[in-house]
Amino acid sequence: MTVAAALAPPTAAPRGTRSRSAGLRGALAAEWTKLVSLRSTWYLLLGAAVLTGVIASAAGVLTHDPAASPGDPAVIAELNGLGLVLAALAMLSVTGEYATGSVRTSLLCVPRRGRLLAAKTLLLSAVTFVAGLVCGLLAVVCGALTLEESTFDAATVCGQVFLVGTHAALLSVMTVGLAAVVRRSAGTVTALFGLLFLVPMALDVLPGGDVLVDLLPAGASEALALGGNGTYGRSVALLLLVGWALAAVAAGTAVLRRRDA
Amino acid sequence: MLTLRGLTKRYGGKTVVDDLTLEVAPGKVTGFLGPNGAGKSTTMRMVVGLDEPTSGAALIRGTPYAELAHPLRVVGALLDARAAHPRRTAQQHLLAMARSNGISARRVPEVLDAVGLTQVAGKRAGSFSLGMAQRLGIAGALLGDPEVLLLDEPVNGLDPDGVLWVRTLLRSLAAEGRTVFLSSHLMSEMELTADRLVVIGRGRLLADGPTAEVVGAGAGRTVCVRGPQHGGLAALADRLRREGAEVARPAPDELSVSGVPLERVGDLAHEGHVHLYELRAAEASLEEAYMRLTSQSVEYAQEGRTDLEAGV
Repeated sequence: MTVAAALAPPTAAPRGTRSRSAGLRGALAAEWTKLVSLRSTWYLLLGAAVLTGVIASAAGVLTHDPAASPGDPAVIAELNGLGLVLAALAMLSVTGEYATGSVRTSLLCVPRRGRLLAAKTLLLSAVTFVAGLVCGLLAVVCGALTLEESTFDAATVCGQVFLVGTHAALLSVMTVGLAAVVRRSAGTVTALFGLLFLVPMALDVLPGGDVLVDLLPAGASEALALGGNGTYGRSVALLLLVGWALAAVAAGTAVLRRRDA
Repeated sequence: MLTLRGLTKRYGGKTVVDDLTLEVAPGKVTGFLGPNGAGKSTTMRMVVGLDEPTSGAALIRGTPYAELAHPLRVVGALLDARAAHPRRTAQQHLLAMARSNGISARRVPEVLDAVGLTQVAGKRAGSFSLGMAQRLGIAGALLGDPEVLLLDEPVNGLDPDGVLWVRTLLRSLAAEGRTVFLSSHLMSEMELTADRLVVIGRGRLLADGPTAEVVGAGAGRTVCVRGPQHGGLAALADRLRREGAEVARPAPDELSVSGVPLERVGDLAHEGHVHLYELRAAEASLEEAYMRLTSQSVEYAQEGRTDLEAGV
């Protein structure tokens, strides 16, 4: 414990010759370090893989259709659990910091709040996209092993795996935005479930509500998986989900900028 | 260099920090004093952009904190001992901080060594005692070799050895020309550490000046006299009062004299053949000065006891 060591010049660039702002790159590097240094990250990723294997295998066993693609169980797994587990990872990157007070350290390091949330959004979308691809591939293997009969088409299967990754990333981005608005895990989970399940159920009983249900994230997710619904096709479904994700992040940024930490 | 210009924070109708204007100069340790709830922490939080001022500004080298390209390389802040994620190790916590500001990862073991946490670098921050958490917070503040240090109650939870270490550290950081701004409720600690004092109460600036000046301001020198002859002391007291002195008698064998120089008290005692054991100028203490300054602005005082209980 020497004072001299504390006073030694930093091994980074000396004063005056400092590189320009670490900016978004620095914020991303810090978020990556924070994400991989928590055990909960690895537990959630492991959980996502296990859940995918279970759901995909069950879906494979229960499907009896010679035209089925081995990628079908992957899409089913994504919409029925995998997406939410990866979204939980995204949620914890925000609410975990509020719960522990470490968000103050994050804001000291990256005081530009828009930049901090942008870094979280970018990192979590990339991580959940890759995790979605990996789990999607795992689901395809499980599907191929468990499907009684199926038709393998490389382009279809690749498209389905890519869809799993894309959907996981978009759902995670939406969750990061919601979490930045709500700040607490329980509240964020409630908001997410409300938006995904309760609001569509409530709207469904209203006359003409089914049109609105199609526009909600859950409706768009289904349309994305099935290649469209009665109202719009796959590309519109994708655009709708991107719109929801960006709207949530915009709301999160607005709240983060306005409120004291 | 840290500048506050008309810094104000209101929550609803309550003004927590009220038009605070001051400059914290480099090369000195500046102490920030005030009773609980006086607005010290809120002021520090506004400096680093955690709280948005209602009006006014806090500037570092003329720039708001949020606009610094590498904030950690300019300002090191310890605002809260528990600012690390409890499930991250000390080393990982500092590494994430370093990466965010383009600071070399080699700096992490350096600051861990500087605060004496090398042995527990791989332990989770959640398992740390308050004293260790404070040391980790100080390591984080030193990480970017900043020219401005902001520390909110840095010696909280430290053992006497740690308190001495922080004092030495802060003094040497200031001696290097850095701006050191720290709050503490430990008056004696502040008197030993700070060159300059800023005192606030109810969010308002009450005093801002060199420690000796703030301590001495309006205190009036008192002379303490002690001797075995109670009658002699009483006669001396009468004699002193005729000279215009104010004399109190805190104990039968003791006088407390103000308004007359120490030498004159000695001369008069000699003239009156009063036997003395003690004749000394009583130093005004920071505690007394602080009580006097803040007696009107204590947030959570017991009725009628404000002057005794103020924030200590």
